[in-house]
Amino acid sequence: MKNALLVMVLIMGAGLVSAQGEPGYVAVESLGLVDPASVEVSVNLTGAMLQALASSSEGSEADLGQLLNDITRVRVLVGPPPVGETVELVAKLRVAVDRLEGEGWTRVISVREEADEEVAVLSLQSGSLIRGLTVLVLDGDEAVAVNVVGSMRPEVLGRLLGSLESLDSVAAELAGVTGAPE
Amino acid sequence: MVRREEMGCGNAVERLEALVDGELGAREQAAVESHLASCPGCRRERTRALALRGALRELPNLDPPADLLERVRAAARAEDEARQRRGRSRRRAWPALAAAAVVLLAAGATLLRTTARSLPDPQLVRARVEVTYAFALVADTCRRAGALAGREVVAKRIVDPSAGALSRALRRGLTAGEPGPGLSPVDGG
Repeated sequence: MKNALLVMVLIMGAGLVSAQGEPGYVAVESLGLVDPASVEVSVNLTGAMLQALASSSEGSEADLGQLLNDITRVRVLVGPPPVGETVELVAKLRVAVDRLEGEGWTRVISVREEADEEVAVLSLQSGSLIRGLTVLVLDGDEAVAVNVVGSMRPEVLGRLLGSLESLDSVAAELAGVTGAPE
Repeated sequence: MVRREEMGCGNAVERLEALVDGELGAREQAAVESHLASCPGCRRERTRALALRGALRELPNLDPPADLLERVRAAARAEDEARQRRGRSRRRAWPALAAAAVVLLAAGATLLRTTARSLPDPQLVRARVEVTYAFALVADTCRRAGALAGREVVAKRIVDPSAGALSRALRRGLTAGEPGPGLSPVDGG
């Protein structure tokens, strides 16, 4: 049974990376971290919209605008994980992280506090650029998957990450424009 | 024993805007927050108030036409001079007042056109918030993980072009020193 589970996990993990031949792309949906029926936040932004956004960012948003010029895809999934699958999900997440590392990704942060908690932040670098950024979080009743693809300049990304307000206030703003739950 | 009177929904909602703007006194703020802790409906209202504040911040600053004030003053001066010439007949003042109103209306129309041009597309507003949320999520995860690991400014580890070397250095540091709770060894790139 354990072997069957492992094989299943490996097969599912195999479809995780480079599905679109795009360095930095990770098909985070295929991990199944978030219960599809209970997705709380789903963001899927690609080329045209990001370019439009970049050209509309100016002034105090210069860093965001600059970064948006350099990214081609932003995918976010937030919500509760499927009920009763925590152990399998943790295993799946670990296999996926190992596989990404095998593909050249660097695990920058990794936290394993509890049996049902796993946090992994990975980056894919090419020369002096960051081609992909992936965040995978499984924290009890919440799961998060983020994948950002592009050719990001580290100093711009650093300034942006450092300047962002608290997640709560941005989430409230997001709820305001999408009608998403708190 | 004095029992403190609990705040009701009406009073709490009245104070939400002041709360999100940080304008309440300490006691009043505590009372509102105490009510919010036990009232999901009012919490939703607070979320709306926060979203409204965010949306208002998104609105562009309007720069009135540079000559608006001067045109209004000129119209007022003309009206004043006309009054002096014709006596203080209010009935005869209306053409000048109408002229001033036309100037104001024209200026208002210009402002509205300017506003319409500079107001962002709703889809762009939404996309901007979504992308900000994505990066805030990344930053928040790093901060939380960093706090668990007892490290400062973990985000810098992501953006450092030599993250691999840094990770190896960190691993060496963890091996040599006392590891923070929950931090597993980090592989180099």
